[in-house]
Parts: sequence; structure tokens; C-alpha cells
Amino acid sequence: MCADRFSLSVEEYLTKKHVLFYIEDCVTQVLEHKEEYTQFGILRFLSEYFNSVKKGNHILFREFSFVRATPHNRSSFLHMFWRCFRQIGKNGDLLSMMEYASLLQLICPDFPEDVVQKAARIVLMDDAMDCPMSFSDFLYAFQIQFYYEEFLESTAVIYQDLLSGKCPNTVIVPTSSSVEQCPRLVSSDTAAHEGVDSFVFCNCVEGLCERFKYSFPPVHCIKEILGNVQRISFYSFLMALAKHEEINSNIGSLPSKAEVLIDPEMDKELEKLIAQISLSQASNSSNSTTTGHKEPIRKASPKKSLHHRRRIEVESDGSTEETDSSEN
Amino acid sequence: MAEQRGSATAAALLSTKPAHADSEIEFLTRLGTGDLLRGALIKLLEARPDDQLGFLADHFKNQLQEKDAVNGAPGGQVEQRLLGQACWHLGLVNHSQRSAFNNNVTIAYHLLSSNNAMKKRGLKGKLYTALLSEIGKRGTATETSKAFLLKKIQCQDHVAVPFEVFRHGVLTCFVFEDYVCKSRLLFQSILQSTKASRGLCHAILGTLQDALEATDCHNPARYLEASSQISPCRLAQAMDQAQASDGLLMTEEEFLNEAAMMFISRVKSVS
Repeated sequence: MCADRFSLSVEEYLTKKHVLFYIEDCVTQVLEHKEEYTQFGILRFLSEYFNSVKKGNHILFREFSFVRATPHNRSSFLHMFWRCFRQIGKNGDLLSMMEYASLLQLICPDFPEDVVQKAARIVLMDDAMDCPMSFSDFLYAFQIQFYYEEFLESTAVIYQDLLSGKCPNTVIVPTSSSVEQCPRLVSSDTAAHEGVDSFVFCNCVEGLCERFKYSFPPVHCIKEILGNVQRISFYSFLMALAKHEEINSNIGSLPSKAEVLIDPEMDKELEKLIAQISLSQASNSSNSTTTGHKEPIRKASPKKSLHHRRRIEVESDGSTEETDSSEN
Repeated sequence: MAEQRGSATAAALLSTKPAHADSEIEFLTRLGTGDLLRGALIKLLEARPDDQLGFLADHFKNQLQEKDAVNGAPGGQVEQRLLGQACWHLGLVNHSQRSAFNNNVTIAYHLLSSNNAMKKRGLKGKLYTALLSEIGKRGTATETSKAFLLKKIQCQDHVAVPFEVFRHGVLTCFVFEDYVCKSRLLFQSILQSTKASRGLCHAILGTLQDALEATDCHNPARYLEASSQISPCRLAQAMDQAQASDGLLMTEEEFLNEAAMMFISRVKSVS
């Protein structure tokens, strides 16, 4: 990869990490908030914009079309979701699909429910859709669904074609409608329980990867998953993708499953914040009992600390805070 | 995804909304957005880093600091910040991409020489020497060898440093760092736990010395000769002959110091 980038053309090099997309977005941002940037200087804005892109908190409270626009945005969003709601996993709570959708909408107000629904289908193997799910199960299934959305759509088409006995070597164009109907067909079909021949399926998916312009999981991981069994159903395939450690580390936004609840850096900040809040509360209302307040504080803290962090980052520049709220 | 939008972006940069196009273009020009972004893209394409977004973040942060430094802050801090920025510019591109590297050397030179408390232009020896030791600090060479190198290429505190001397010094530091890295790799290839056989080390150092002696700036053919001197088979031959060793060992630091001294002895002294 390292030597490669010098042989790419300028256009190819810039599209690799979507640099022009971010430049376009930051100019749009400047135009949307003109007054603030004339006051604080464009250079400060550019510096803050690209630093937040680098750190991955640029997706906070942005619209869904922006959040899903690039692989970097998607992985930043996944990382943010994990950081914000890790506490739920820690408490061991099981939540329903709609509850996860609400959590996602706290970070991205127009996050569509159908993406959440698709992720829930992976966890629940397209069965008993109102069943509550654990945080880590949902998180890793959601990662696969959200990060590899286009890939999943295309493999669903291949799978469907194989089930109905067609040869899926035709060009696959991912469309939203194809996936919409796909799972229902699978569940109604009696052959769905047996799935398809995994060797044939593997060959087709491999062929897809060769000409696929969106992100897809490493081919050797797919081969590994499909090489272990004779027949496979679509949802067992997705489940295996979601559980695969190497695919997870390849995306690089979530820790390994064993460490999903551990984030010492965040824990330290939380503790600091809780201490601060209880201190200020003690001074504000001396007669309120501490035990009564303990639980609500714990629940609210992850989100609060994020705002807190952003506030520290922007320091003197009061404008960014206003920007956040106006983006909502 | 963004690919479709990507190629057209540059053109669309200034003409996204035709209705307010004029006032928006005017607004962006007044802010200097175009120039800033163009400058950043040129830097990005020159250095072609792997982490493009991280690079842009650092670039703008650095520019902001440069601006703040120019606008004035307490004396000592400004100098330290300028040194950091000069190092950042110099570290952007490896010296093997010579023309891009030379550009960055020029930028660093102007950056350092424009800062002068007495409002006199020109780079003082003191700042130049501080820059060299700053570059050294970021490198991995041993302290002793760094000190020897610095002695050879530093200038006296109050002397004005001409550009050629500056370029020579800076380039030497970076080439030296690469040389040290390569030497360390050589040492690590014969490593036994923490030390290596002294006999083997001397054989390698000998070959290295032969190769260094073969180089001659004025005759490109000598470079080929030098590289053949240090080729794997020549090295293997030398090591094979040295095999009958006496059981004495050598540490990495010793090895690196000796290798560094061979390099430094060939560096042209500045003063």
C-alpha cells in the first residue's frame, strides 16, 4: 500500500480517502454558518473541522446521508455509538429493536429504522423480531449491516438467485428494493432452512468482490466462513460475518468482542464527571439525598461527557457549540 | 458513496448554489478559503501520506499555530513553536523525493529567518543549531554520535546562516538518520539475544567502510560500485571469513557508534 500511493493518479489518490468529499463538506459548512467564521477566522475553522474528522467526532448530530457517505464516516459512527452506549452493555440490559433505533437517533437524528431492522434480523436470524437483544450482539451485527451495506445487498441478490436456481453471474446492481423483499422471500421459502451450496455461493461472492467498488470484508475471511460448511443460509452467513474477529479488526472501529465493555479512558472521564456533578449538586442543594440521585447521574453521564469533551476541544471558540445545536 | 461526487468537487467548490453564487464566491474569496484549501491540497499531493485526513488536520493546525506565532506571543515560546513547525515541514517528505524535500527546506528556512526579535531578516546560527538538535532528538541515533555530527555541522551562535549551509546541514541530519536505521537493521540481523559477535560486527563494519569509501559525488558509476560493495553476497562472504570468532560480543550502541563515526568522518565540516 505504502509504495502504491505514489503510482496512483492524482484523482485516484484523492478519491481513495474521499478527501474532496470532506473539502466540499467543509466549504458547505462555512457557507451555512457564515457569521461565525468571519468572526473567528477561516483557518481556525478548517483546523477544527479536519481535526474532528481525524478524531472521528465529526459525525455527531450530522444528517444520515453524511454519516453513511464514506467508510471513514461509517466507522467513526460505529465507534461513537459504542462509546456512547457501552454502559448499556455493562449493565447487561437487553433492548428491543425500537430502543436501539432511539439510541442511534440520539447521535444521528434522522437515522432510518430500516437499517436497525436489518441489523436486528441478523441477530435474531430473521425470526421473532420483537425479541430483546444484548448490546454486544446488536453492536456487531449492526456494524456488518451498516459498514458493508452495499455488499450485503449484493450478496442477498446472489443468494436469492441461487435459491431460485438462477445462475447469478449477471451483473449485480444493488437496489434498495431488492433487499427489502429478500428476507421475506427467504423465510417463506421452504428451501431457506437448507440454504444454498456454500461452495457455489462462495465462488459467486468472490466474483462479486473482484469488481465491487464499495467496501467488502477480506475475501479470505469469507472463504474461511463458507469453507467450513456444506450448505449455508443467508442469515447464518451474515451472523458468521458479524462474529468474525478479523473482519471486526479490519473495520477497526470496535474493540474485539472480549473487550467490548472495556474503555479505561472513558471510564476515567466518567468518574471525573460524576465526581464533578455530585460536588456541584452537594453545593447547590445541600438537603437532597445522594442515594436518590446516584442512578440518574450514571445513566446520563456518557452523553454528557461527550458534550463536555467537545467543549474542551473547542475552548475559546464559542461558535462550535452553537453550530452543533443548529445542525440538529 | 462519495466517489461520484469526488471528481467534480473541485469544480463545484465555488459554484454549488447558482442562486447565491456570486455572493458566496465573494464570501469565500474574502475569507481566502480557496487559497487555503488549494495550498493544503498541493501539500497533500506533494507528500502523498497514507493517512490523508490526519495529514490535513495536522496541516491546518500547524498553519493556525504559524499564524498565531507571527501575531506574537512571548519570545521563548515563539522560537520553540517555530522550531516545531520547521521540523514538521521538513519531516513531511522523505529526502529521497528530492524536489519536494527541497521545497520544504526552503519553507523551513524562510519560516525561521523571518522570525527575528530585532526585526532583522536572516537566520542566526543559534536557531539553526537548535533546529539540527531538534531533528536529532526525533531521530534514533545514539547520543554520542548525534553530538559528534552536530559538532561538524553546527554554526556559531551569532553567524548568519546562508541557505546552502542550512540545506547541507538539514539534509545531512536526515540522511544520517536513514543511515543509522539501515545500520541498526544490519546489526539486528546478526543479533544473539541482546549482543552480537564482535567478529561478525567488524566484518560488517569493514564492508560498510569499503562501500562508503567507494562513493564519489562526481562520478555516478562509483555509486554502483558502492552498492555492490554492500550487496548481500559480499556481506555474506565477509561474514563467512570472520566466522572463526573469539567469542567476544558487541552491543548495539557500540556498533551504531562505530558505524556512525564512519559516516560522520565523511561529512563536510561547516565552520
